[in-house]
Amino acid sequence: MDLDLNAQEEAILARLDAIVKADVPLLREGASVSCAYDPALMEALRQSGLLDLARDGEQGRLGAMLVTQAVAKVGGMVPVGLHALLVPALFDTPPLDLVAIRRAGRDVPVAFATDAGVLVEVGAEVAKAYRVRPEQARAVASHYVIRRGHPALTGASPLLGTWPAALVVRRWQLALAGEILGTMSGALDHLVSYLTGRRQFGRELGSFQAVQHRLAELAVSLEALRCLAFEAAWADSDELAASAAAYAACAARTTCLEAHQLSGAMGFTLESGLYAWTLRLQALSVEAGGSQFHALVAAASHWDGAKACLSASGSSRKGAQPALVAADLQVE
Amino acid sequence: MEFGWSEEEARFRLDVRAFIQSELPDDVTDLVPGEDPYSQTSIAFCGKLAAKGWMVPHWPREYGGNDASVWMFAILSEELWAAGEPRGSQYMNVNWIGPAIIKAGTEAQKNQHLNRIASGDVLWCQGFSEINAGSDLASMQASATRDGDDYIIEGEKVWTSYASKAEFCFLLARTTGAADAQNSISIFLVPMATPGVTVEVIPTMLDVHQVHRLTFDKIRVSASCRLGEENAGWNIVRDALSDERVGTPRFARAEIVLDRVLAQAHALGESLHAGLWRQAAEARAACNAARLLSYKVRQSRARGMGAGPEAYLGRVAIVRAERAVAELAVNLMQEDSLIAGSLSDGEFRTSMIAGLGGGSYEMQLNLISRLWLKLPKGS
Repeated sequence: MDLDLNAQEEAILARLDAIVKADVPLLREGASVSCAYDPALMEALRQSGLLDLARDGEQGRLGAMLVTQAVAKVGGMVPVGLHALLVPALFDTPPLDLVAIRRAGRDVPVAFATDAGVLVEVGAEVAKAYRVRPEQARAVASHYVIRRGHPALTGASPLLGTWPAALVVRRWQLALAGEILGTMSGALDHLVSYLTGRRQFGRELGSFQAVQHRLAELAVSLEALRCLAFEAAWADSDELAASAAAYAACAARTTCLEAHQLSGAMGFTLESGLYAWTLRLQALSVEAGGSQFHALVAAASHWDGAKACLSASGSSRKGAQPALVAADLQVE
Repeated sequence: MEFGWSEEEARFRLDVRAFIQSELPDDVTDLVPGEDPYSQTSIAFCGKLAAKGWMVPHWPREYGGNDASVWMFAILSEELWAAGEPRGSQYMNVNWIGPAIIKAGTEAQKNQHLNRIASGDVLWCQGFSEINAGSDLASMQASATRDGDDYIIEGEKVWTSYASKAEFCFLLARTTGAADAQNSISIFLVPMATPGVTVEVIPTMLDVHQVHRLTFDKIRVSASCRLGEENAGWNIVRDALSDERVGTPRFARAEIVLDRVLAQAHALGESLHAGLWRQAAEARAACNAARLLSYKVRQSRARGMGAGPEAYLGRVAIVRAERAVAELAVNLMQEDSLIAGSLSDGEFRTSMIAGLGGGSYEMQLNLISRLWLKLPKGS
């Protein structure tokens, strides 16, 4: 048992630091946030070899989790978790195309679908990867930072491979836990910085106990998630991955809401930049079925009695039709 | 990073479990801390632990320990807490009273106390809180006035566990005549048999645990009972209390309660819906998070890095875990959770005090704000 970073892990972070400083233009002070995929960052990560770490056992998966959370922390616009933690488990030679993922039978908006050339579909028993054409994906309007779309999967899409669904779900959950960890960390840094500088009633907002306790609660959740995510990456077990993802999804939702509540109207402006973390947290919190699905997987991995509930939960769902998309729910 | 246990550590956990299974009386969970049968059980059990070298394995050899790793002690603490903490008040001796004496005690104090603590045959209590000094411990009024080679101590301490059977009290008092009110607290290792010390039970809604009022009616104790320099007690106790934050691995017992209460509900024919299973998984994650955060604290201290703010994060996580399990237990058992002595009743009432014992939840949040997040001080 050793919860401190070793020299090798420190070196990974140092290399990442250099990459994101050079290649991540977004989230710099005062910059507006782009929703576009960042191919330059993706290429830099590929060239560095940091996306291949997870091939190297327990220590490799810990390295991959470090990479995932560090890129997410600076808001890197790439599916880093999938490429660091899932792709090495599926392909001996990583595809040059971007990888997107969804649950089979659920026609939902998929992150990076309009840029991804590989789609992984996770069924009840098996997961399959197909080659798809990103330019044919149907883009979906979404306010949640990352571009989303319906992948152009057809009967003619070439099949690239088949794997046990449990493996893919587990690595997808690790990826989500890691991305939420990093994004939450970025959000909390931003929030603390703002509330330390912002003065109202003649003093810093962050000096009020009512504010401090809420920030402290977020800090506990963040550090708890850090432990859970890294332990889950190390163990690569169904239960711990699902458990970390469930914890992460709940914490992501809370952080999104609390960060905006505590930042007031200023936090809603594009100028503040807060949304780049908070809306991404919200999006991550619902991916792969969200906390409800993750928690049920965790329960079924530990208690046999929960298995029936999990089996009953995986029914398919059509995508939301345009007519159902809240045209009549405009708020003032 | 590394999250696994060595073969030696894994074997040690199994050995501790087997020892508890064979040596702990079956009725231990029916006993009430503070009452005679519990204290007798504690003394008998700790004697057996000491004979195995497991009372203070992580202490230095010169003080009766075995220089064992922090992880051996973590495993031991988890297994003992999971079994209902049969050491009783002696967990305090091991976790922070002994270490405080090792750090600040005179040779005579070390000789007097450490061997007995290591042997598992002495009960202590702590004289900290007062009726008007709870969370704001530094405002205590109990006084200690120097009189030749002695001190005269006067005052009252409340909500003290284990006091009726304790042989010594780790007592905080304000030294009269100190120039600086901020630095006027001293620590006294007071024999409870000293004339003028009285102990009364304070009735509470927690029949699973007795607490007491201690009155010190101008008692006279030798200056040799003072731990550390005069007026230097606050730093010693603050350091000692940081051990206390995560010294009680409540999550280890909560995890077991979680499994048991699910089994109870199943045995009663309760059909668990998906929502309850999710809640169970979230409670289990909360326990695991508390365990890992407490390991971070233990690791920092083992490396001589002192008591960092991680201790406060760990303590909040422990309280969250206990509450999460209690809430599920009550949701599962519903009206049956109102039956006195039922598992869910015990867990719920234990969770009510989890955020107070060892420092209130809100004080931990204050400390996280100031020391971890570096937020500006309030006016």
